[in-house]
Amino acid sequence: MSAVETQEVEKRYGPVRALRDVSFSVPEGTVTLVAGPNGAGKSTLLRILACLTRPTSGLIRILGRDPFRKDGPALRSELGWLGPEPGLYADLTVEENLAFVARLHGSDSGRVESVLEELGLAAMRHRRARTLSQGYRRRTGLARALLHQPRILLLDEPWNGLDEEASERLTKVLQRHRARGGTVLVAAHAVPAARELADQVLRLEQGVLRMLPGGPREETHG
Amino acid sequence: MTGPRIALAVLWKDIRLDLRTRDRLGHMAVFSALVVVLLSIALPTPTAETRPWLPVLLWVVLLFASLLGLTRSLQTETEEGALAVLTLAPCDRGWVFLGKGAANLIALLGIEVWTAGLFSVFLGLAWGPALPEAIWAGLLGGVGLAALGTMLTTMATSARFREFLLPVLLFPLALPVLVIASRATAEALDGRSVPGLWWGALALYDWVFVVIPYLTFDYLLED
Amino acid sequence: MEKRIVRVGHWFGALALLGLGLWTVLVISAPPERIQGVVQKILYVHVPCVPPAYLGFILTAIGGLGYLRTRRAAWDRLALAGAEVGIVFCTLIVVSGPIWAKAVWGHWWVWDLRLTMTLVLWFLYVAYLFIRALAFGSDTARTFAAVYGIAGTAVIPFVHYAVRLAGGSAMHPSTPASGGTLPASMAYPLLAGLGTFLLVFLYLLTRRFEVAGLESRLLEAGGSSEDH
Repeated sequence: MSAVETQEVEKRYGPVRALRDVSFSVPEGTVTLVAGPNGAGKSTLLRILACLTRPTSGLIRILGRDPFRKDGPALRSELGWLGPEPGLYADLTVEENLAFVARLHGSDSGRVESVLEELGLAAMRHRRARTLSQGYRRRTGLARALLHQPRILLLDEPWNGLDEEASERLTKVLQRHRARGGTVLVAAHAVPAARELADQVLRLEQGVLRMLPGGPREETHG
Repeated sequence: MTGPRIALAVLWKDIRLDLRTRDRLGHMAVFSALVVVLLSIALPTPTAETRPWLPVLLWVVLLFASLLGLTRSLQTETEEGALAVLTLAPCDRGWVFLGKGAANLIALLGIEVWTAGLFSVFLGLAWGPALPEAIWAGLLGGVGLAALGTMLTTMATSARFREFLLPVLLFPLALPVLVIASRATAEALDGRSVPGLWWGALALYDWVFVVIPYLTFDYLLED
Repeated sequence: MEKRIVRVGHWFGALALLGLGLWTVLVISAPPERIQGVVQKILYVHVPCVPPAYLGFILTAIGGLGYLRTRRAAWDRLALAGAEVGIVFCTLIVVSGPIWAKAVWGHWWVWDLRLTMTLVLWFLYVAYLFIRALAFGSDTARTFAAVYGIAGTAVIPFVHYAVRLAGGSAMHPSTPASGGTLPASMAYPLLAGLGTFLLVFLYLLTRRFEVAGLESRLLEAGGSSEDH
């Protein structure tokens, strides 16, 4: 079964067509790089897959089901999302932010500890999100997206603002996610790590899919 | 039981934020104190004729104070993109509305008590015997304002001029709450009993504006 | 379906034109009222505006419901057309009322049940159009507008009740549309007005509906050249 499948998805913002006739399918257990120049529709595509935005027309299937119908609530717990903003409450601490998400998704509290560890945030756990540097805010956002162990990760420019150490952590996290059979769709710009990691590339240009899955692929792991 | 759990989590999160930064409650409290003091200076000593105006003024102050609180809670949700986290909550999104609405209601009830106190100190409103019915008016009016406010703030989230848009959207819809609640408060203060029909109308109104956003919050959160 | 609506619209237009002629003749030839004088003839404009205004707002709610259910743009266009044309008639009511009131009651504005109701409705649907203008024809703006339009209709009976409660009294003369006491020379222009304004409403509604359709087609055509 494919993890994510779209058929003729179109999204309009008034006169602007952000996406046109986008059809693809991504198998489970793969990393897909969503590439393309600025304004190509990468973020819009990821937002639609994350159920944050409704497509104007077209079909979406997440794990074989339609997230914009009855199955929405159940499917949303399979999605981990990181957008351009980290998705945090500025006046809650790192730990409280994560604990809130854990409560939303009914994950056990041990998960908070393990994502703090996984992203090197343990020392920052009692800092309010407002007082964190940009990089740590991104890391906390990532931790939030991973917390409820979603099967599908949708990450919009996750490497942005990360230092070298954090980038490596992120890459490892994604590799591990894939090794466990999870799926990743990641939009990134000029990030070599992303290119190495990707099993396939979806290239968007002006809202149109230019290349189908199965693009340049490099073996980076055994 | 996912839904109620999520509603409670959202409510608890908002209460925690309110208690931590206190700027939301603080702004509302200082605002209503300012207006009440201003009124007490500007108004002549109330006579039998003008006394019925005070409850109306009280509710107008509450309306503006709630507007302040709603704008602030909107900022909390949008500042670091947290609204997306709520949108992704794995439940019928109506529950998210109930959680946020309850949090707004609690803040509003706090301000109601505070403002009612100010009115009695500065403007001589004697709550004593009117208290039970005033509490009903506060509760039912509060639910209406909180429900409407929560629905409309969510609509205003993605707007460019949200601080301007919110009052334009809120006031016409809030009119029935404002009128019925302030009339009921006035009746109670006058020592008359409030007709059951008024309570019924107010409760029905609350019900309608809890149900509409509950059913449509799915659409309101997606953008 | 949409094409048929447009075609029917032209018939409404033709009938409305005939009706307007008849109505004008009847209004002019109607005798001036004994006490109020010629000012009373405002009635022939004021009263016939009421049904179209309400009808427009009800269509807004219906269109909103339809849009939320089916996500078809046509429903949304119906809602938009209903609100805009409804507001035109609502404005006419709000403007013509005080002119008459100044002459007869001596005040422009009186805290009157129907007057206040109409004004609140006017504010409601202006707010509705604000939402529509939010995000230039995006799905979001449509959805929000649909919800607000439904809420706006749900609010009408409550506003009515609240205004009555606030002491908005029965200052307003009730409509003698049912016939009854009005002499035929006055009832005919009124009835002609009611019928004609309804036709004008339907004509404007169908045209606005058509224009909204053209607008969106234009946006689609233009969209491909200025994509992001």
